[in-house]
Amino acid sequence: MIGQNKSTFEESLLKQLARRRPTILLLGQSYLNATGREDGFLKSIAAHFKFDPTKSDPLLDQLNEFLGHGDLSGNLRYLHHRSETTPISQDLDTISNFAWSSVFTSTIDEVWVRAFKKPWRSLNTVFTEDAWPLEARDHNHLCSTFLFGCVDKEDQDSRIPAGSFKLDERAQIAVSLLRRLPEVTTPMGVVLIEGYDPKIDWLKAKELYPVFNSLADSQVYLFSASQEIRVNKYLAKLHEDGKLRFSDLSLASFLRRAVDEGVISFGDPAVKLSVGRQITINSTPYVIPKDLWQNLSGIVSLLDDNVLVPPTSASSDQEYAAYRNFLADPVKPNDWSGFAKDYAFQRDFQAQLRSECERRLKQNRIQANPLVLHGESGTGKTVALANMAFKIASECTYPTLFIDRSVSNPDWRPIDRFFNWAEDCGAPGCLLVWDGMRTDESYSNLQRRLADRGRKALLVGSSYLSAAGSGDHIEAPRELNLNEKARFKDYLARFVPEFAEGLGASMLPIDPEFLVALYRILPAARPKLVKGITGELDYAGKKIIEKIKEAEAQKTGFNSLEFAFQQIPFLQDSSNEVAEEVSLDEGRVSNEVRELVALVMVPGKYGFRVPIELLLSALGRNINSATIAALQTGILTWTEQNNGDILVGPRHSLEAKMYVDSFYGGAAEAEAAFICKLMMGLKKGPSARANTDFIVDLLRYVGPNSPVERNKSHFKHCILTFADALKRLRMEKSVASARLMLQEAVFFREGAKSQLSERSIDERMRLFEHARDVLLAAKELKDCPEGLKSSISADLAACYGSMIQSAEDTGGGKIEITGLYDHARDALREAMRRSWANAHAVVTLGWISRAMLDSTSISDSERSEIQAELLFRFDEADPSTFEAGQIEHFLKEKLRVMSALKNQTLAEDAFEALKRAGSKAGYFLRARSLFEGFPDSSPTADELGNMRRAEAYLDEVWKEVVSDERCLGLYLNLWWFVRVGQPRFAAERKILPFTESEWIKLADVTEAFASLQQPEPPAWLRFLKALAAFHCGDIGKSIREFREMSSDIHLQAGGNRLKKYFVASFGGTARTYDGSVRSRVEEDRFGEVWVNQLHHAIPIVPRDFDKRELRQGESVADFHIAFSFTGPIAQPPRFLRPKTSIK
Amino acid sequence: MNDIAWQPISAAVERLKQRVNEVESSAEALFGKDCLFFQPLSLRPPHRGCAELVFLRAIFWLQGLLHECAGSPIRSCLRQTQFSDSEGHGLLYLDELQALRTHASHNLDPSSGSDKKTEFTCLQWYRRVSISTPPMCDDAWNQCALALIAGADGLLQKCCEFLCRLKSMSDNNFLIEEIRRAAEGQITPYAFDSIVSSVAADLGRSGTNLDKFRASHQKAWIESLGMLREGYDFQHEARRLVEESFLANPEKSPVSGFEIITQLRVPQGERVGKLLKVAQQFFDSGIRDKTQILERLREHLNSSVSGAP
Repeated sequence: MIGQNKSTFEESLLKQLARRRPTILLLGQSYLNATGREDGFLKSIAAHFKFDPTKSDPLLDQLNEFLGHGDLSGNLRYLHHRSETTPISQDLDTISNFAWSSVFTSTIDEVWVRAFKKPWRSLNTVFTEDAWPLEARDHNHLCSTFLFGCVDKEDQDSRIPAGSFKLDERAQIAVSLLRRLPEVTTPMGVVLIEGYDPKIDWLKAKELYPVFNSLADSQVYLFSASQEIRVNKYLAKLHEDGKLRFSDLSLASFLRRAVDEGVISFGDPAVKLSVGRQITINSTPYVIPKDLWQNLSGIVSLLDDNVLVPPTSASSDQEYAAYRNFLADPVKPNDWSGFAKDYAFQRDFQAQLRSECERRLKQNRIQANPLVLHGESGTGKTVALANMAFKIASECTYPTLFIDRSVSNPDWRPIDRFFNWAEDCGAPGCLLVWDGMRTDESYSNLQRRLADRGRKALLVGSSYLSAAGSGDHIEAPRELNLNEKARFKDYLARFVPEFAEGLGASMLPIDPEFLVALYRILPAARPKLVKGITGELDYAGKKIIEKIKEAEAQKTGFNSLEFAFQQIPFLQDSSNEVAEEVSLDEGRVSNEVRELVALVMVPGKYGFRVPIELLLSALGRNINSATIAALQTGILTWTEQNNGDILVGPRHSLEAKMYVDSFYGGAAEAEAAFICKLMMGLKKGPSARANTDFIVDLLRYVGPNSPVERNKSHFKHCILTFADALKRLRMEKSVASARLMLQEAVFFREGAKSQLSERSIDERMRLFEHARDVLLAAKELKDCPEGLKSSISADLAACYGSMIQSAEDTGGGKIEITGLYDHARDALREAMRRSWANAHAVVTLGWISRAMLDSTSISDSERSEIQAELLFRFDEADPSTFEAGQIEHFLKEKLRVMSALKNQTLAEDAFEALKRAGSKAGYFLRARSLFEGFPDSSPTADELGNMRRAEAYLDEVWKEVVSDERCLGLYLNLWWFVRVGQPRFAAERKILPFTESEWIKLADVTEAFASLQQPEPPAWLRFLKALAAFHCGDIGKSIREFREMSSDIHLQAGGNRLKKYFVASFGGTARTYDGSVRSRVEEDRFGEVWVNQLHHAIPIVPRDFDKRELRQGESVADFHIAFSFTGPIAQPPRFLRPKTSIK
Repeated sequence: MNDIAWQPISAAVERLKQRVNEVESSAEALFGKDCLFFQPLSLRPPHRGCAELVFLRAIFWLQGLLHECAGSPIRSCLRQTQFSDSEGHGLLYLDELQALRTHASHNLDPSSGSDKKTEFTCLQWYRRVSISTPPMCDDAWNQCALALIAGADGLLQKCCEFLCRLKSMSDNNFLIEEIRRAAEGQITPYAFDSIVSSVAADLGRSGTNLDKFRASHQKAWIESLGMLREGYDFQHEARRLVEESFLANPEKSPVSGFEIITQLRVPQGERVGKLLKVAQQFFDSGIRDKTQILERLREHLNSSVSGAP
């Protein structure tokens, strides 16, 4: 081997590995003797169980037979123990050091499992067909598929087969699991096989044959391939057909060589430093705990010290290629070198963005509002955000995370945990950049979540359009200003001076799309300066500039991107067989290829990148060499996420728009057809969840509730097309997902409401009924998440509401309408019970009830019930817990509701009728009619007087109303206003004026009210309950309630979770306490102080008392106790200012 | 370096030497006297001098001790899951030591990714250990030296514990065998030196810089030897590998294209390349002298002009 030239085998594989595509390992049962060593594990068990090595049956088959009889559990325990004491060889260690995308194995021992567990990697195991790992190709959560079980398992599904019949059964499962391999590999990946001997392996070559045959040429490589192996009929056929390649080399030797040549590196691909994931905060490097960064994988890019390793210097040609690559795909999960080398063109707004961002971070406090960069496509928002993230991360003060646009609904919990850890390490604040192109409310919700958790994190987002004039928005203007245009030529001259010169000489206008077009305009290789006889300069770019000038002369409204994009040969005409970089094998660009490109470009037009599994599945049988080649062209780009997910998209959404508009004339129907085709690609499997997320996000973005108006109107005639596709997906392909079903119902409901003039009432009702049935079925799904059930219930109510409206429009019968209303109200109650923050439910109740109140077909008592329900729900709603974008809808609806109720009075006979029917609505309405409503601030004397009358009335009928949720809620609100004179959470540091008996009353009422609001009362009620318990002396109960609230990650307090609203008091005077510190605590940390008066410990932070530390046993005197949603905390005397006292 | 500064370093070095003995004793208890865990080391441990020099001496000594004399068995221990180091601190220490050694003794290439990484790793290490990058005062260098030696001590302590644990473990035969094989397979690069000289003399390779030749091939040789069945004859197998490398990398003829153009008056073009190949053939046939080769080339040119075969 020494001194030999590399074989074509190696050359080919090294090239593939260099592209860093999915690399799958198939580990056969002979891997422990793959390098000439004997398999110690097998040898020892053969000796222990006295197998006959001279028998023709392989030892593994003898083991299988042996396990079929006798003490299976005991024998498995021995096998496990022997496996555990089998050493990890150097070769196995070498193989384990590579960042595999996935492992399939026929081995039964666990030696390789131990070897593959690394500080940077965990293993997700798959034993059965039912198990679908969330991450199919994640280097850090390696999906390990055990085809024949493992000796360390004893349960029936995972243990190794005992006896030949069990082996036959297991072989079927193995085949089924193996069928996942092509999907995991994708057309771009490779499968490397080691330790496979078809003669003795339980995985037979004939089972491998169809799996490998479904892959493209040269995707499978078999190492340590002796002549005996090569002559196997199936393997030889695969080899002959170009599907499988053999090598004498061991996989370990090959990998070592690949490392020596710098093609691959061992270890975590995202890590350059030996120390692993490390982040420097204020000059001190910290190793990031594995669980923190692993949970962030696939959600965010973590800009740690590995990202900040200085880039290498390069020759000018290499520099040019790197620059052009940067233009093609500027933001890659683990490669930020383009920003380190200042490849990004700095637009003027970037300075403003960075300065505002730094200003907020330096405030060193919890941030209330996110900062949003808004502007149209192609204005440079993504580059600007990534550049700013990189620059701020480089300063090593504020730990920074970046969320790519393709991430759907990032989970805030791992982000919160990472920021919490970073703050504990001394970070004064953290930066979260989310290039999500979402609505403002998405960013506000996430910002509030983080604020609620006490994180001093600033969120910076991106969107198309935002409310102008707000200090929280920075605009990325479409046009480059004069200053930017002048700087642009200097910028370009850094990389392609000749081209910049040419641009300058030609006096070409730099239009708004020029930045996006630049990648296409610049030639693939650096323009060469060639000195001719006359000494004139010539270069490849000159031709392009001339062409641009021609194009400009011929057209009005010259668009540099359109011009540049049209230069791609693939797009010019269907007879051209050459794509940009890869020639297509077939004689022409086939319809299949066009279809593939369209399936990517249509979502790409709206900024979405398609998961590869969904794309290939949607194409179905249309995948051939031409489609695979098309996937490799420069028209489409591949992005591998940190968790191994592969997304295919256009280079830029503007290019996609250009493509779709030019090929399909901007017809919404054509686009909808491609989206539907993609939807039909959904199937069960490892990627089902990610694919569903993609479809739901896309449908929301183009559907009737899209945040982008032009999308709504573009697809307004396609709503039922989408609805039907979702229905077919469920009915024909058995894809039952609650999220998709919710979308299906929304599309049917909205479809019924669209084009009203063209639809009969019967047709509309049929569509509504279908939507209702889908929602009812979705709620019944076993795996329907609890959180989603609230949304489904709210939508179900909206569906009933739409039916009521339609029935009303056509004079529907009384029974039908009241029945529908009852269903709607029940659904809404369920929605609100499941989530008190569901503003959609309250708003829906509003418009449905208003429709009912207008109806002439309901009785007075029914009307009163509706009024009571409506008033109670709107009085109780706490807008601070609603999602940011829903508050406005709520307030508008509240206005309409109050206006509708203004002239409604409760007649005596109606009151009596309600009373007879056992309803308490009459009492509620009587009390409620005594005052106007609950003000947002302090009530006037008149208002207060009216409230006192209402309270007195309810006191009079207390026995009647004490078990009624609505009356009790109203009473509590009145009781509070009358005594405090302000809404419950109007300001911080309140000293409540309650006497001892009043605290007891508050405790009783909150307890009773909470018991009616099960399973989970709203956060404010839990807070008041715990506060009352504290003041009634039940400290233990109070602390328990607060602790539960503190650990409830779903609790929403509108970003106000940490506000210290109340101070422990008695009769309107703040109480002072004293005590001693239980154990030493440093300046910023939470410690505990034993409170002498309470005989209980509560939290304390030395910094609040201007101390650098508090020592164990140190006395703390004259402190107050303040309360936030997270519980009581000791505060120094200066915490209270005189004006905060109410009385 | 004054006594106050030198004393802790000296004590740490002595402790480490003791630790080496402990590991050797534990290994002897497992493998017997014939199998050494540490191959002999000629380098001296750090001795008193200026602070930076002590640190540099510590790097080179530890590199020799932990990589060249016992790298194979130490790494073999580290690979095993019974070795208590789930966080990978042992490997990290070895990698950082290697980086410090490269940083201290090589001119790093700014265009090389691995060199950039080496530099950054070292800067991070300095920052972590001495809060400065790189250390700018004696105290900081002393801190670095102490940290480096303490790291080695920690690693060898774990090795010692592992070997002791191994002894009492049931069904330990495969594990013991694995470590023993690694200790026996520890080949210091210098073991090839005499073989390389001998092969070079036998093949008449007088123009080859043997040190550089060994350095550029030793990794591949060691890897190839590692794949042989145990009990192989080192001298024989190593010589075969060295010969193979010499044959795969023939010595170049001393004649350059420039000399062909200027001395033989051959115009620039393809013909120069063809004549270079002919010159190499003369050289391979045993004509070592440049003048003689040029003379033979002149004859070759004349014969081809006159049409002689």
